Amino acid sequence: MMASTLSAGQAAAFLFGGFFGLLFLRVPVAVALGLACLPPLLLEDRLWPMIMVQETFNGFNSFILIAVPFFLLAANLMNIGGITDRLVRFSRAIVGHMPGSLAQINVVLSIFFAGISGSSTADAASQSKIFIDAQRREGYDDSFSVAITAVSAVLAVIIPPSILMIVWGGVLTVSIGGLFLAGVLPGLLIGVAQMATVHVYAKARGYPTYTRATLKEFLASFIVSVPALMTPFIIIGGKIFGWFTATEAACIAVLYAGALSIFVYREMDLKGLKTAFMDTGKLSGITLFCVGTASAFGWLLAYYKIPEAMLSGVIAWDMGPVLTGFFIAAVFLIVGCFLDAIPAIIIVGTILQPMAEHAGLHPIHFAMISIMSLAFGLVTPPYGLCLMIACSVAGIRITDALKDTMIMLLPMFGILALLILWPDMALLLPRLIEPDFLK
Amino acid sequence: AQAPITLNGASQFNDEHVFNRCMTRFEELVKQYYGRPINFVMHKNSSLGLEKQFFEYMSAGRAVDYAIVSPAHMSTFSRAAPFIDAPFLFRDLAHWNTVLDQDLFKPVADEVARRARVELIGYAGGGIRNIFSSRPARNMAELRGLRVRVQGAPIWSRTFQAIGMAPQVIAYNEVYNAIQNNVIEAGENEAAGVEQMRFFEVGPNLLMTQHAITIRPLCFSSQTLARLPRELQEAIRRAGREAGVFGRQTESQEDEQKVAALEAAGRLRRIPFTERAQMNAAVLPVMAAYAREIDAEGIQTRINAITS
Amino acid sequence: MAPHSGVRGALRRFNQFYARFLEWLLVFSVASIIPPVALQIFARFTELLPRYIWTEEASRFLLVWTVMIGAMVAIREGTHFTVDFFPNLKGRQRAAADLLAGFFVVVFALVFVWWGWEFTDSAWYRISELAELPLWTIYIAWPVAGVTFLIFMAERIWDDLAVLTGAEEPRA
Ligand code: NA
Ligand code: NA
Repeated sequence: MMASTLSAGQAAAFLFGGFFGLLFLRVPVAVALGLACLPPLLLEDRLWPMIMVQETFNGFNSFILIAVPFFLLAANLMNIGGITDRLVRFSRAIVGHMPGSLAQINVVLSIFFAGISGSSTADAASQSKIFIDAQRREGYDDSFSVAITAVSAVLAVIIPPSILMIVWGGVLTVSIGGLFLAGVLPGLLIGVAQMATVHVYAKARGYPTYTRATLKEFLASFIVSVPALMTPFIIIGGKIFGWFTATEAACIAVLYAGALSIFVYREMDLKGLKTAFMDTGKLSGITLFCVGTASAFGWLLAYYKIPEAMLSGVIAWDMGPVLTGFFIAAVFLIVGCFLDAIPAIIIVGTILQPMAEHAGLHPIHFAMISIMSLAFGLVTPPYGLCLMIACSVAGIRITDALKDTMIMLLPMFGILALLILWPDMALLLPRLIEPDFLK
Repeated sequence: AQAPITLNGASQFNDEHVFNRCMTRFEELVKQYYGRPINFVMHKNSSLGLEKQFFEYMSAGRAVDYAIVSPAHMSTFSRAAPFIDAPFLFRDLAHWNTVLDQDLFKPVADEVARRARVELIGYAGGGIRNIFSSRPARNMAELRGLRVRVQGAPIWSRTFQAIGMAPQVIAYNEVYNAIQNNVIEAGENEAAGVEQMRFFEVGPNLLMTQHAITIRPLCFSSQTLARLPRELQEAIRRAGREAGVFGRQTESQEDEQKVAALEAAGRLRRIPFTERAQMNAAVLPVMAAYAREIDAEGIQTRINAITS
Repeated sequence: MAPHSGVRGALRRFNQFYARFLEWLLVFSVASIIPPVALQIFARFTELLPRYIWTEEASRFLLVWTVMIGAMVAIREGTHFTVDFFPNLKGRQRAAADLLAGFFVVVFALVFVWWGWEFTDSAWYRISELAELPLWTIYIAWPVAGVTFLIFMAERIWDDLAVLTGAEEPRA
C-alpha cells in the first residue's frame, strides 16, 4: 500500500540479474525467467508470487497462441504424411544444381514451408530433423548446418501466414491481411540473401553439388507438389474471402495437411499420427512454457514501468522516419535476445507505437520493421528459440553455432536496413492488391 | 516521516479515454477530500493486462487497487454481476439515469462485494451501444442472419439469437480483422469503443439499435480499503460515487458527439432502426428467463416499473 | 542403466509409468483442441452444425493443459531449453553443476505447488465465463505440474548424487 518497495532500477537489477545469473548456472530458460520474478514478487509489498502463476496462466490462456500447436502439428503431419518429401524433391529440382545443394534446398524448403506455417519453431524443429543429419553425412560442418537451418526458419514468421503478424495485428489494431501481404517481398528477399550466403560458403568450403535435374524430373516433382503448394493460397484466399480468422487459419492448415496425407499422398498411418500428436505436444509444451514465464517477466517489467523509463525522452529526440526505423529495429533486436517475440510485442510494441506515429512511419511499415527484427531474435542468444531447437537436435552447443549464425545474419541485417530505407518493400504489395488494407 | 500511501490503478486504455479521465477525476477528488499527501500510480494501455485480470488482482487485494471494469468480467465470481450490464434493460438515457440514481443494482453490488471482495464504489459508463456493420439494416427482417460479434456472456448471444441474428464469439482484439475479412459482418459497441478500435473503418454502418447503455463500475479492492485510515476510506467512497457521476455525464455527452463527429467526417453512417418495439418484444422471454436463472427478477421488475 | 532395487527402483518404475501416462494424455489433449476450433469455423457456413458459444474458451483451456503436460514431460526428458555455458563438463563436475541447476528447478516447482495451490484455492466456487466450467479444473494444472516436477526431479537428483559421491559411473 505504501510506495513501491523497489525502485524501477532495483527491480530491473533483480529481473535481469536474476535471469542472466540463473542462465549462467545452466537453469532452463523458462525456469530462469520465472525465478527471476521471485525476488520482486516477494520483496514488493503490493505483490506476491501467485502473480507468477496467474500471469503464466494468462500467457497461455490466449486463443491466438492456439496457432502455435496447430502450425507445429501441420508441420508434423506434412513430414509424416509425405508432403515434405515431395516439397524436398521439388526444391531439389529447382536448386539442386547450385553449389551447396542440400543447404540451398534447406532454404528453399523453408520458403515453401513459410507459406504454409506461421511458426518458426515448427520450421526449425521439423527441418532440423530432416537436414542436420543429412548435411552432416554430406560433409557440411555442424555449425553451418545448424546455423542455416535456424536462420532459414525465421522466414516462417516473415512470409505469411505468421503468428507474429496475428499477434501484432490483434494488439495494435493493424490489418492482419495487410501485414500478410506486406511480409511477402521482405521474406523472399531474405530468402534470396540466404541463398547467396550459402553460395559463398559452398564455394569457399567446397560443399557438394548435385547434378542438374532434367526438365522431366522438374515437371514430375512439380506436379506431385501442387496440392501441397496450394496451401498458402488456401490460407491467404480463405482470409481474403472471409472464411476464417487468422488464428483459425492454423486449424485449416492442420486439416488440409491431414487430408492431403491421408487421402492424396496416403502415407499416414496410426502410429505416425500418434507420433505427430505427441511431438507436437512436447514441443508446444517446451516453447509455450517459456512464453508463460516470459509473460510474468514482462508483466513485472510493465509494473515497474521499466521499458517506459528506458525509452522516456527518446520521442523528444525527434528523429526522422529513417532514424526512428533504425532505433525501433535496434530496440527489438536487443529485446529479442532475452524476451519471447509475443510478450515483446505486447510490452514494447505498444510503447514504441507513439514514437513510430510521431516520426510518420506507416503502421504496416512499423509493424514489418518490428516483426523482422523480432524474427531475427529467434536466432540470437541467449533466448533464441530456433537456434536452441536446431542445436538441441544437432547435439551441439549454442556457442559452437554462434559464429556462423552471426555471419549469416549480416546479409539479413542488410535487408532489414533496406526495409527501413525503402518502405515500399512492405507497402508495395498491399497497395497493389488490397488498397483497402492501407487505409 | 512516513512515506505517503500509494494506490495503484489500472486501465486498458490511453489517457484520452473517458475511463482514464474518470479515474483521474477520482484521484483528484480523493486528494481533495482526504487533504493529506497520497500518491496514485496509473498503469494504462493494458500494461498490467486486461480488465478481467485487474478485477482478479483487486479481488486478491494485491497489485491493483482500483479500476473500471466491465461487469461481464465479474461473472466468474458472481453469476448475477453481468446483469448490471445486460442488453435490453433500459428504454433510454433518462431511464438508465434513474435506475442508477436509485441504486437499484445494490443487491448485485453486495453479492459482488461478498463473493469477490471488490466494492463497486461508483458507476461510470453511459455509452449507448449500437451495431457497427459492413452492411446496413433498418428492421428485423434486414437484421436476420447478421453475423455479429457479441460479448462473451451467454445472455448476449441468447438475446441476439432471439432477434434472429447469428451471434459469433470472437476475441475482442480480432474483431477488426474479422470484419475486414468478412468472417463476421458486424460487432456492437459504444462510440468510445468504435472510435478507439477504429471499427468504423471496417463497419461504417452504425445501426441505431440502442440495445444497451453501458454501466462500468469503478471498483475498489475491499482488502486494500480495509487497510486504509478511516478518513481515507470515506474520501474514497465519496470520490468514487462522484467520479462515477462525472464519468457518466462525460461519456453520455461525448458518446453522441463522437458519433456526430465521425458521421460529419464521412467515416460512418447512422442507419435509423425502425423496429425497436418488435426487437424488445423478441428478447422479452429470454430476458425474463435470464433474470429468473440468476435470481434477479426483483431488480428487473423494479427497473421496468420506473416510469420516467 | 542397471535397475535399482528399493525406493530408488520403485521411484524409477513409477516415473516411467507416469511419464508414459502423461505422454498419452498429451496426445489426447493436442487432438482435442482441433474439434472445437473446427466446429467454430464450419458452423459459420452451415445451419447443420450447432453454433456453440463455448468453443473459443474450451480450446483455450485445452491449450493450457497441453502446455502444462508438455512442460511436465520435458522435465523428465530434460528437454527444456538451456543455454549451456559449460558444455564440456564431465563426470562429477557435471553432476555437481546439474545438482545446482536442479536445485533452482526444485525451488521453481515449490513455487508452483505452494502458490499454484493458492491459485486453485481461489477458484473453488468460480465458473468460467462461456462454458461455465469450474475454474479449478484448469488452475489445478499448476500444483499438479509442481508436484510432477518434484517427482521427476527427485529421480534426476538421486542419479546426480550417486555420481557425485562416486557410487556410480556417470551416464553416457
Ligand atoms: Na530451412
Ligand atoms: Na509463414
